[in-house]
Amino acid sequence: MMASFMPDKDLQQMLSFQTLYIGVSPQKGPSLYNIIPMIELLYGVWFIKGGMHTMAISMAKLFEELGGKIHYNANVDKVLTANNKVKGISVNGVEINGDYVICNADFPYAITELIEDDNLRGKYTKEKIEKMEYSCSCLVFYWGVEGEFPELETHKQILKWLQRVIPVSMF
Amino acid sequence: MGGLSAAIRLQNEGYDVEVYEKESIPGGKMHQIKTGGYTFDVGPTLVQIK
Repeated sequence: MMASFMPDKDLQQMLSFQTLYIGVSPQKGPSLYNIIPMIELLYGVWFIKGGMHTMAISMAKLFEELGGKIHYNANVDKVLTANNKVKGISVNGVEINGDYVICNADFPYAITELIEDDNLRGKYTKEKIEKMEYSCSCLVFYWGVEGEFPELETHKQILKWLQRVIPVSMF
Repeated sequence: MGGLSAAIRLQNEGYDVEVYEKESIPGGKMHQIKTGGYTFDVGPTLVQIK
């Protein structure tokens, strides 16, 4: 597909390897993942002071500043339903009711473990979920190294053309 | 991060939002490990349905 627009193999790799982040071949990846090279090229890749986790801490802080409340160490056991509607959640065995529930847990876990009523899972039955294949994401090494490496920029990518594309990203 | 993003937007729209988080820190998959004087970001090393 990409080769029909760009004959240059390096450019093809640069703009197509991002689906490997989710363990899917560029030939099979959803076009949605074009967002990643688009963002890289238009806005650049940045490193947050203190690391990526600073983003999470800052967003939690913003939410609390807006008046929201975060309950930590609060394990949601179930999403509670009644009359085909979600009515609340069960946290460590305690029922909490709400007008709306938004669940951001991993989908296969949430739909099979948190929803009790088989009829409310729609087409995502336990059998269907169990049959689904998982793809491998990146192989990631965390290296603690001494010194500084000014020749390496944030998110430096080294592409190597073997039989498949092997991207290496430095963060 | 999807949960926090939704929570911030809805709280800002005037909804009364409460977040229930299993861990003792925010971020979910976006985790951080501190060891031996080094700090490691742990990213989205999760699996997804094909």
